[in-house]
Amino acid sequence: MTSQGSPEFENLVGALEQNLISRRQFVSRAAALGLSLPAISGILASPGVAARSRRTGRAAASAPRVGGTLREGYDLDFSRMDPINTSWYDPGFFALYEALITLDPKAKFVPQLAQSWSVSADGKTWTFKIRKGAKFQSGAPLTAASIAAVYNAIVNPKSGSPQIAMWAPVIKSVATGPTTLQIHLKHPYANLPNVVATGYSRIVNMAVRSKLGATDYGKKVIDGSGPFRFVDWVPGDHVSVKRWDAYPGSITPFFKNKGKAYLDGINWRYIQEAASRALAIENGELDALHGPAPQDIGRLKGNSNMVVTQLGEESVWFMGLNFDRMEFGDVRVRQAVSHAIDRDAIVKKLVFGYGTPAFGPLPTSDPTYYKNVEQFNQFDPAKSKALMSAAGWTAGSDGILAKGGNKFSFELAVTNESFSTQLASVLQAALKDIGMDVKVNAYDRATHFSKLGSGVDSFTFKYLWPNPYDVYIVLTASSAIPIPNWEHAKIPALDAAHAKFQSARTPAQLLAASRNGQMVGAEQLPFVPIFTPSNVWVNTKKVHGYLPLPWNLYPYYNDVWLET
Amino acid sequence: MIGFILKRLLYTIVVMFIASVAIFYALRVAPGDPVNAILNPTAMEQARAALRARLGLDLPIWEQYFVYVKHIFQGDTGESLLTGKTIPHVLATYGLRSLVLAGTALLIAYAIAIPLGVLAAVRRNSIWDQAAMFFANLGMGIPSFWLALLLILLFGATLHWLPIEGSGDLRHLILPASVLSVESLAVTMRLMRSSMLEQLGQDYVRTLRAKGVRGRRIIWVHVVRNALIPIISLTGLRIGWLIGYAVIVETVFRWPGLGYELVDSVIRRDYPVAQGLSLLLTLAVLSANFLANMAYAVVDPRLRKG
Repeated sequence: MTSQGSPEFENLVGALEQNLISRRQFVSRAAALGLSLPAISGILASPGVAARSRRTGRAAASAPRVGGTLREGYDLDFSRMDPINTSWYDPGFFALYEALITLDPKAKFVPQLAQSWSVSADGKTWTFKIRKGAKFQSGAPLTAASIAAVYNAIVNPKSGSPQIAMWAPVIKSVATGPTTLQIHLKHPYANLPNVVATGYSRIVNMAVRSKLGATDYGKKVIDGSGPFRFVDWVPGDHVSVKRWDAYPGSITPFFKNKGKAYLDGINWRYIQEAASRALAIENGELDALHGPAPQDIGRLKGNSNMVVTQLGEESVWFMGLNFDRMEFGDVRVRQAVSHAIDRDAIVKKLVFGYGTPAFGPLPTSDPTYYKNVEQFNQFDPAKSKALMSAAGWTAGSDGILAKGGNKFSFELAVTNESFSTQLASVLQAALKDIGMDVKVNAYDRATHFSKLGSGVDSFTFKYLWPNPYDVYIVLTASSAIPIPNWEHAKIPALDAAHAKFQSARTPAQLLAASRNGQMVGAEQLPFVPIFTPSNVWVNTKKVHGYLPLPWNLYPYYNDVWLET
Repeated sequence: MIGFILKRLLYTIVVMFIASVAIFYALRVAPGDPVNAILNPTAMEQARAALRARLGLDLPIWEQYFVYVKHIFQGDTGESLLTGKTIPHVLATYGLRSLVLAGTALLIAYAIAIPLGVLAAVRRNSIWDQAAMFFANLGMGIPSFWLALLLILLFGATLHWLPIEGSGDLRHLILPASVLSVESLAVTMRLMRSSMLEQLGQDYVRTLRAKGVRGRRIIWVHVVRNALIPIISLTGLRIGWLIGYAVIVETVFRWPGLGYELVDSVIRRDYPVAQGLSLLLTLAVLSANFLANMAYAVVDPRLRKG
């Protein structure tokens, strides 16, 4: 018979406390030592053993586990994964590629491929010190020259990069050594970090891209420097990647994992039907999800197995009015349209409160958002009617505005996705209240964008961009008529504001220029802002290290691991 | 006979040519531009023009058609503008999924319809017969897209038992295959019942009974075997019908089969894929007709003269 104070007994309890044996093993061994069942139960229930056991258990659960495939649902279809020339960059870009710098959880620029950077005294040369040991998944070294090659390809107008306008101040990028990259500018450009941090500026192996050709790269072969390798892409269905075991590690400060990824792979699945997304994660088909239908968010929040992260989105839904049609070139008419829109009601009814009204061109969640824009574009149908009257339009017997025998009747072109058509119906009803006759036409995306290119009376569009002021320039600069300035906006004050933004020398000047541009846009309305939807991410509790940030658009996957 | 074959072959080639022109032209005159599916909507016009030139979309439509036909005769059926995958690869990938879906649906339909058809015939005018025929009529009348929505609501949204879209494991197959099977199930059940009734009235059944063979043995060994002949004859036709009908089911459940890919490629203006799949379907129908004509001609010599 062994007593409870014997060395054998103490060793056994110690093994249990350190989780070296299971509770079942403890029971059988304690019984073998001659302990009675009530005595064993008492030991197991004792606060010390239970607490230590729980502590070690938690520690085991929080230690990252290697293995498993993350299944992530997504609300937008995936594009060809060529950063320079793609229709849109997707979550896969954050697993396959790396950027020169990136944004941390506090929206501060931090190293990724560049470990440090500086600006010359005249503000016209940026020098980036590139980390040593970086390489592409093919094994080719990633040097300053590799990065310069990408940036010099982007600035070619035929490259197809949506960032052309943002790279306009750049003369050229030069590697002055294997780890030194210089970007030479026409004039100071404090916005440059925003430009090089986006998905469109991620670093691709140009040798591989050139060999395949600009239209074929990113379909079947990808060579980036991110912690995952490409497996396959099926448009309309999924993208798959697998861990790159030779990943040299990351220097990005906010990544806890500096080595290779924990996950074996990631499978992103496109779920077109909004109502199906929440069901898919609830039914255990997914581990994480972006963009559940607004009506399902409350239910997901109430699910104890889910973590719902609700962020502001760097996007704005807006209505574009063609300056060359229906007197939309008259600012009073654009303002009349804007004042007729009840943005609060749209947010409340259409997205169940998961969004914020937009009164200016930038979303409220952006760090540079200027609240003073809210003095414009408030819901005021009486003001709309007065503005239209001042512009010479009077209501006829049918309630529709008319001038010189012409009725105020125009087309609103939207995509045939369900939310777009719902929003169009709301806009149609709102504008009817002030005497405008709106004919809504819904098209598939290919037709919609062809129509926008050739010119339509009006349209709706949602931009989504990590630094919204950049896309604001792209969409409204008079130099971008007819594509992508689909509204054919010609506002000299706005062009001047954009020029000021693009030549700002310091972050303070950049912020001031942004605020000025926001005020001009809110008053002059190159487009009519409507609202910004919430950016909602959901993950099950077995997913760890999952950190979506609004300004990066997608989470990084270096730290993500799955509990069994 | 050779003259007949050549005439039918010529007819098939002419129809195929007309169909290819119609499909090619219709896709290109429809509004929309494949460039919009490849480039960012905000991409500049220079980039759009460069891409159009690279894809040959800046040529006149007739010239694009001749380039396409020339490539076909060189054995190059083209590749997806979006993914770069060749048309045979697309066919193999998506076609296999369509076959799996159609095959499963057929399996479900026969596994249920044949026993129920037998039961309805053996217990003619009983409650079993009336119930089976009621469900057969319901199955033939119910629109598949509506049934699909009902099943999605019940098994996906309410009970959370089954995934409601996409492909992956066997669970993804259950709802689309069930919906696709319903019409075949109903038709097969009715056919099986009438075929059984016809067989049950035959002399050999009376003979077997007179010889003292047990009822169940007569039904399952002798009658069912003979009654299955029209079902087997129909199977070939039903597979073709199922693949065509699967377009709706594949679209509703986003099952990535040929039908889904065809619709998707048209929406995205992925011309080579849309053309390839449309022409393949046309060729399948024309080939089936050609073979049927040949078979009829073999059976009925009078047709060879016409």
